[in-house]
Amino acid sequence: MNKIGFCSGILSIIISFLQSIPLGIYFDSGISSYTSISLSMFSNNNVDFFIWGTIDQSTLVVQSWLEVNLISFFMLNLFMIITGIITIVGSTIERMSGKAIMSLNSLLILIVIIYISIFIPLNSIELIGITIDFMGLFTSLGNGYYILIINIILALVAIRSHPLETE
Amino acid sequence: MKLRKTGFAAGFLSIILAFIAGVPFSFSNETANSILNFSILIINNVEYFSWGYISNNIGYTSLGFNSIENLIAISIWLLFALPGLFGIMASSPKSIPEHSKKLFKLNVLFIFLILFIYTLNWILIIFTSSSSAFFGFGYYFLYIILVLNIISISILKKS
Repeated sequence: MNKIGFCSGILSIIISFLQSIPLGIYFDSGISSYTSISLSMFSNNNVDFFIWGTIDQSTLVVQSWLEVNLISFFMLNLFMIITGIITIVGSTIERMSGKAIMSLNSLLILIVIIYISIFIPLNSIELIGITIDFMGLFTSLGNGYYILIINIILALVAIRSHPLETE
Repeated sequence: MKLRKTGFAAGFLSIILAFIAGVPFSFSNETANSILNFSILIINNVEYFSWGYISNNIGYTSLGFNSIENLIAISIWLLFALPGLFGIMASSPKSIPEHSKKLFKLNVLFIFLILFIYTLNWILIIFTSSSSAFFGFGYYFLYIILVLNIISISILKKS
């Protein structure tokens, strides 16, 4: 099993679905947490952008990419979910097909990173209805973006270290 | 090859320290009489954990700050979280013993580093200020994790 690939898949699934990672979990009539780390990609005009959608911090309105913009839904949310699932499956396949899946994983993550870093700032009005300054984006990057960078590094390492069955 | 139980236990305990604040126990009629708190240091009734601190029942963390500001907090938190991840990865039945041994040694190094940081903190507080500082249960938990990792290394060496 390719453990690094498996970790990459888990990271993809986490940023595809979660808003934050809970820290200081305690069990008081259910599961609660004292604090959490936000998984936003970047913030602009009080709006936090995630892989799955946006949260307006002033009105606390939550919108998924499916409601906001269909292209972003395909390029961000769907790509990351597909990446997560195929990587977890591919990490257990100790053949060339498994290694090909690992390559596809890093390619899809790279597409997501390029989409967030270049396409969203350049076409921000058409894609999300807000003007985003190209360089301004890089001053408001969130933890989710850095997790994405860690994810692609793991994905690239996973290609090299993918175990192949010897007959 | 079987699952390496001591290594897995060490990893699992590290993950608990990295994410969980307290676990309720001693139940009667579905309510917990007591809470096992995983705080590492208690200074003037402020409980310090791997992820932040709790003061007046409100949790604070610097992990959520913007990047660069949270670098030290993330580094300290990773010293708790990585031994958990490494411990579990190194304990899987198909793992290569040589690689597992390296990961367990790395875990021991990380735990030593955490113990050094918190012990130094405690010594400095005790001798330089009038604040009261105590070790919490989490600090002793770190020793258990350290011993479990050392046992895992010695088992691997024997095998």
